[in-house]
Amino acid sequence: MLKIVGWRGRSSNTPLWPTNYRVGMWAWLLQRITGLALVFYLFLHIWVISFSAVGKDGLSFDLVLTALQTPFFIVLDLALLAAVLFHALNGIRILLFDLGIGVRSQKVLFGLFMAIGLLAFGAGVAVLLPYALGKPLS
Amino acid sequence: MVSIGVKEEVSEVGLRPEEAGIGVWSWVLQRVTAVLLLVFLGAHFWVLHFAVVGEQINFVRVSERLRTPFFIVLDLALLATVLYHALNGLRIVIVDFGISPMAQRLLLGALWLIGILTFIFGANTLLPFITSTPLFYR
Repeated sequence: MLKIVGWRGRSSNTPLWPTNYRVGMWAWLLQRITGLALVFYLFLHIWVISFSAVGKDGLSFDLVLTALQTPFFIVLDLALLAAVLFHALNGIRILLFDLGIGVRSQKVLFGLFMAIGLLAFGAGVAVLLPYALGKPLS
Repeated sequence: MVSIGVKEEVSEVGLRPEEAGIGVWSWVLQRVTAVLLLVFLGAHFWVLHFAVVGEQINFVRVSERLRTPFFIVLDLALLATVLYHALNGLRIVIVDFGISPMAQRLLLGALWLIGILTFIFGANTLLPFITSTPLFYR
């Protein structure tokens, strides 16, 4: 019998091996990945905003914000929106499970929350896309 | 056999407040801050990006808003809440890699120190909008 041995000798023939992940495991993994990305963004955000108000180096809030409102950063804002929406909506799903609601229909709930997330992301794209394509802010 | 015994764990650890150890408290606080973030971060996102679409955000406009006690309290509460949620989330991810109890205690202390220092740093960034000068310059 062919036995494929996975990372660090772990058997690949278990539900914990990525190619065997079902919905719940992907949700768990993505919650961690978006969480870590948001921790990174949070400290970057606090650091960048601090330049604008507390810096003695001639950078003013308006200068920093003008740079952050260019198309490049607006596209990054959309990535941020996607990460926050996933983390928040999947987080609500986890909170519901903790209250004993919907555990048995967790896959349906995942689909439902992701649909809500896609709609909200679509609204965000609709608002921000013109500025990402270079429409000037007033 | 893989068993994830939620019920067994609950009876061992004890969910009554007088029995709760640090793990249970951080679990509860992670949920509490999650719900608070839905409110605070939702408001933060809405006010900055969607309340007035297409307007250049600048120092004068943000100052006008931040001089009201409501937004001062909101922003400081958001800062504290998001720092707790982010750093506790980071702690959970690191602890799940399987570090020793001593390393877990060191990690907890280090993250609290980072959190408190970052809160002071962030609150100092907010001050110029309110009082026109920060406590300290960076």
